[in-house]
Amino acid sequence: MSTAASAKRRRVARRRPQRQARRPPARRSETTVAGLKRELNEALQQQAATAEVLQIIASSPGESQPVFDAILKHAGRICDAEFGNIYRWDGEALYIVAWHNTPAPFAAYRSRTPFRPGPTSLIGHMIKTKTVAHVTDAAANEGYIKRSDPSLVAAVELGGVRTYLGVPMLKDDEIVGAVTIFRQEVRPFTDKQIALIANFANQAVIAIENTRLLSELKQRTAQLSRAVAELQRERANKLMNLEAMTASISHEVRQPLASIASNGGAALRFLRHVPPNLDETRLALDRMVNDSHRASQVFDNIRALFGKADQGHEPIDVNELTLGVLQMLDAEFERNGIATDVALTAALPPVLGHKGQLQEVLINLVRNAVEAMADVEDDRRLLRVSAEANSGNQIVVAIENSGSGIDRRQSAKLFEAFVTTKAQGGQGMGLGLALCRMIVERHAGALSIETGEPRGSIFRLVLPAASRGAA
Amino acid sequence: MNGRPEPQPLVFVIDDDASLREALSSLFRSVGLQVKTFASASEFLQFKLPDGPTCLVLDVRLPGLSGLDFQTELARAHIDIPIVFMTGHGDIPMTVRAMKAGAVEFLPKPFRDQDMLDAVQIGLERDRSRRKNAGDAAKLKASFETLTSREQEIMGLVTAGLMNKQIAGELGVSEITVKVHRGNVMRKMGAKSLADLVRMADALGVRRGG
Repeated sequence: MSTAASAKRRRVARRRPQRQARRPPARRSETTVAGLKRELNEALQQQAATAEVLQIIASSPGESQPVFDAILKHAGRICDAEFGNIYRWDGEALYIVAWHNTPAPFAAYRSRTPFRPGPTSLIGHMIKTKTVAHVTDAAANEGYIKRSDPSLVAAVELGGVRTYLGVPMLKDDEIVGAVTIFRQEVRPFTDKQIALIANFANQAVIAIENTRLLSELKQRTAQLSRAVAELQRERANKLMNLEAMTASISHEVRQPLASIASNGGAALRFLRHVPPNLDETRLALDRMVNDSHRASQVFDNIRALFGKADQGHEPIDVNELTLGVLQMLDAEFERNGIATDVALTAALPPVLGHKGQLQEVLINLVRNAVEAMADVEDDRRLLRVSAEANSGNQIVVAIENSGSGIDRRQSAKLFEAFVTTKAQGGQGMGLGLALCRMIVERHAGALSIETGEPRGSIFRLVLPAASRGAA
Repeated sequence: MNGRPEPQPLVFVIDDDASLREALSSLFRSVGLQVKTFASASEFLQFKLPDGPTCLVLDVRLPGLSGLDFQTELARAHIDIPIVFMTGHGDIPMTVRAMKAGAVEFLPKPFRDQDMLDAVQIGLERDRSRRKNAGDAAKLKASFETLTSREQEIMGLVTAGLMNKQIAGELGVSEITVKVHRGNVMRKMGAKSLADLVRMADALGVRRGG
C-alpha cells in the first residue's frame, strides 16, 4: 500500500507542471488557502465535539444516556447526516438505546423489533468482522432488492435511508454496540467523518463501562452495608439476650436475698428483746438457711438449662411436651379456677431441640397466661392451648388466655421488659419472657404475642419442624 | 392525747413469694408491729380494714396486676393507705411514677432491714396524722350540729368580727339575747376564746363574709 501511495504521489508530481501552466498562479493559491481553512475548521469542530462528549462523560457518571444523545447530535451535525442511532449488543441482537432526528416509523420499528443481524446482512458482517460498515446506496444493495435483509428494507422504506455508516463499539475486542448514521441521499462519508464516528464509538464504550463500574460499586457498597447491619443486629441481639439473662438471674437471686436480709434483721432484733426471744430467732435463722439454698438453686437450675446439656438436640414430640406441662400445672389451674381447652393435632412432625429448655418456655407461657387471668371473673378464666403444623413446615403452639389483655404499645416491649413469673410449687424456675424468647430463638423459632378475641392475649410459639427422616 | 387508747398499728404485706412474706412478717413482729400478709392484691381487697393506722408493703410486680396499677385502683376507691414499694428490678421510671402518686418509699430488693422499718414507720405516722385530722374534723362538725339554727347564725356573724350591738340590729333582737346565744355557742363548741372560735368557723366554712 505504501508503495502504491508513493507511486500515485509521483504521478501527481509529474503532472503538476502541466496544470500550473493552464491556471493563473494567484487563483491557485486562493483555492489552497480556502481548502486548508475548511479542513482546519472541520478539525476544530471535530475536536470541540469530541471534547464536549468527554465532558459529558465526566459530568454524568453512572448515566450513559446523555453521552449517547450528545454523540448523535454532534455526529449528525459534523458529518452532515440526517439522523443516527446507537445500539447495545447483548450477544444476539442489537437493541436501540438512543436516536437523533430518526424518522418516527423507523425508530418505532427498531424499538419494537430486536435488530438480529442475519449471516449475510450488512450489519451481520459488521458484527462478525468487527469492522465499519459503509454502504453508499442501501436501495441499490442486494439485501434490499432481494428483500433478504429485513432490517435494511426497514431502513430504506421507513427511514428513507440511502447512504449509511455503521461503526461497531468494541470493548476488549468484543462487540458491545454500534453507532449508525444515515443520509437520505447517495453521498458517501469521508475518511475523516468515519474516523470521527469511530472516535465517538470509543467514547460511548467508555460511558457504558463507567456506568457499569459505578453500578457495580453501588451494588457492592449496598451489599457491604447490609452485611454490616446484619452483624450489628446480631451483636445487639446477643447483648440483649445477655442482658435478659442477667436481669432474669439477678431477679431470681434478689428474692431470696431480700428474705435473708429481712430474716437476719428480725433475728438480731428478737435477740435484743428482754428476755431474748430465742424461738423466733431460731425460726428466722432456719428460714435464712433455706433461703440461701434457694439462692444457690437458681444458679444450679440455670447451669442445668444452659450448661453442658445445651448441646443436646433431640427430636421432641410437641404434643407430648405440651400435655406434660399442662399436667404438671394442673393443680395451679384448679387453685385459680381456670378452665382449659386443649386442641392438639395428631401426628405432628417432631422438632429438634433441648427438651428441658422448651419445657421451661411452655411452663412460663402457661403460667403467664394463668397470671394474666387473675383479675377477671372466675367464670371467665379460660386457657386455650393448641398445637398444629403450618404450611411453612413449622409447628405452632398457641397459648391463649381470657384475661384483660395487653396494651398494644406494651406488647412490643413485653419481651424486653424483664417480666418474671416466679416459681411456685417447685415446678419450672420462672424465667423471664425475654429469656424464653432467647431460648426459642436458639431453636431457630419465634415467640410473638397478639391481642385475643374478644379479649385476652395469645402467645404464639413457632418452631421449625424436623424433617421426618431426621426423627 | 384525748385519753382514749390508740388502736394498734397494722402492717400489710403483699408478695407472691411465701418465704419473703414470712421474712417480712418476722421482721415487723421483731419490733412489735402487727402484720397481716397476702399472696395477691385480690386477697388483700377481701380483708376488712381495721380502725387504726396502717401501712402497705408490696412488690411493684404482682401476679396479674402491677403494683402501680393497684396503687391507682386504691386511690380511685378512696382507700387512703400509705404504700412502701419493693422491686427486684432497677426500674427508675416506675420509681418516679410511684413516688409522684404518693408512695412513701421505693426499696430495691434486697433492702436493708432498717430502711424497711423506717419506711413503714413513716407510712404509719402519715396514716396516723391523716386519721387524726379526719377525726378532728368529724368532732368539730358534730359539735356545730348541736347548735340551734339561731346560734349557728350568730356564730357566723361573731366570727366575721361584728359587735353584739351590730348583730342585734341585723337580726332584730335585743343585745342581751345575742349575749346569751353567744355564750351558748362558746360552751357548745368548746371554744376557749374568740380566736379559737374563728379557727373552728374557718375549718367548718361558716364564717360570714370571711
